[in-house]
Amino acid sequence: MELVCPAGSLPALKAAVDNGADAVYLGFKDDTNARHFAGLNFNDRTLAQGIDYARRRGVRIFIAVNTYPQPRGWSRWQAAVDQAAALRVDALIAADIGVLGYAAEQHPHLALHLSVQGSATNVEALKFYQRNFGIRRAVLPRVLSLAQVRQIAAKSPVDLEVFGFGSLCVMAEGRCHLSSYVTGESPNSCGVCSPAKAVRWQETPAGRESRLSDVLIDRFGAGENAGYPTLCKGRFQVGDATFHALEEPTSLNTIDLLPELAAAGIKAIKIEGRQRSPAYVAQVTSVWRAALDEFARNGEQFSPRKEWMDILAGVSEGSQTTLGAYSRPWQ
Amino acid sequence: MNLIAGKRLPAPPPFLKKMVGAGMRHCPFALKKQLLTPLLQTVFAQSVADGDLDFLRSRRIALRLDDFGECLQLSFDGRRLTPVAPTRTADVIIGGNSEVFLLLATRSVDPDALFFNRRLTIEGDTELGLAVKNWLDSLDEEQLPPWTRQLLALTRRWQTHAA
Repeated sequence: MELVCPAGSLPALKAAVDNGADAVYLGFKDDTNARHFAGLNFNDRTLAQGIDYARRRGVRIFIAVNTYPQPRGWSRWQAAVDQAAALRVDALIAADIGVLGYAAEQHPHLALHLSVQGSATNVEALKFYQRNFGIRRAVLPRVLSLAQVRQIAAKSPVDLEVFGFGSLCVMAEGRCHLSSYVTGESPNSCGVCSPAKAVRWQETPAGRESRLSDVLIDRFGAGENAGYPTLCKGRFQVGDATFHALEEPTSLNTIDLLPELAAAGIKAIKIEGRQRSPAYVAQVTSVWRAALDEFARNGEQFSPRKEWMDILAGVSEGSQTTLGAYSRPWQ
Repeated sequence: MNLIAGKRLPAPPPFLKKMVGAGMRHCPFALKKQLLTPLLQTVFAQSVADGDLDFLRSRRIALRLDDFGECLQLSFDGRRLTPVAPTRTADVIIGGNSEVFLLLATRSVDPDALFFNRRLTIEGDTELGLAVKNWLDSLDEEQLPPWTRQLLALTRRWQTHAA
């Protein structure tokens, strides 16, 4: 399985490549991708350097142009697709049908991957995208159980990539309006969930308070781990109780499932975290490289090592790592 | 080099901290500015040339060393990153113990992990704080002067032994 790692900056890209990534994915410095944060992503110079660095070491490059353009900004998305094609990257990751259509028509040699934001959760959706745009691969949304992933993989007309590690959220991929409900901006069209300009942290005697557009999202007492305030992971009063009414802040860690994912025919494992640091990318990539290599050697005898899990837990958001939606015993 | 946030962090020895703390407290601002400005200029010359510090123009960031109770405010005037006298509250205040800042400088720990674990605080303008974090994360060590790289390498070695 191909190890696909995030790169929010040139040092992060180098960290991924140096620690054993098979492919890196990145974005331009604008709202054409879903991690549009100030200071993040690549300009022309760092792009050229990054692509060269990766290529020399046999690592593939994917560029994400995975947000949904509005009519007024359309030329920006066209320019992004054109630039990715001109750079001859190994794939363009996109979600919007117009972007996919433009890329397929104008640059038939540019490989297309369906972004997780495209939210294809069944075989018919995958067939649709493959028939109309010739996608070669799709990233599955993180809401599917392992049983569902197996079912889709058995009949999928394209290669499948799944998330193996990273922060989780309510995951209404490509459709979530919680951020725009509170801040007016969503990841879908503006490239950012809970934009930083709406975020405020305050250290108070009662604890660390996090706010989104002045709405109190959470209050962390002493000893409690804090997180980035997204509406889905806040704690709210419902009746007499205050709890995570929508979603608990946890992180995904599927190292345990490597044998099952391989058996299901999954082609690639994706690591979340383009907004995270080079240290995160180095640590996570090296652990997953070691895990994949050990799985390749030992097959069914594969068992995750404690030191891997400790390292991953150290960089995880929330209080625990879970199998996310992969584990649904009731199904 | 697997330093995990949440475990005890390698800290400079107490006598060193006392010395540095006393030095900082008794050093007049004008002298601090005179010492730090050329230092900041050489270390971040590439960032200035690339326009990567433009977001800091007329804005103030404060680095608060909690174990020393000292605060350093910085701003960018279009040409240089310089310390500024604390005549008003900074737009964003980044706080932590000195060992946390050393870990950030050597990229030994993920900054978000330190923040989630409450060893690092960010107060005020979050967007500015995040822009600072992303700018620092995007610094290619090769852009830094050789003496800075050597100092960072030494610090990393010490951190590994002290952990």
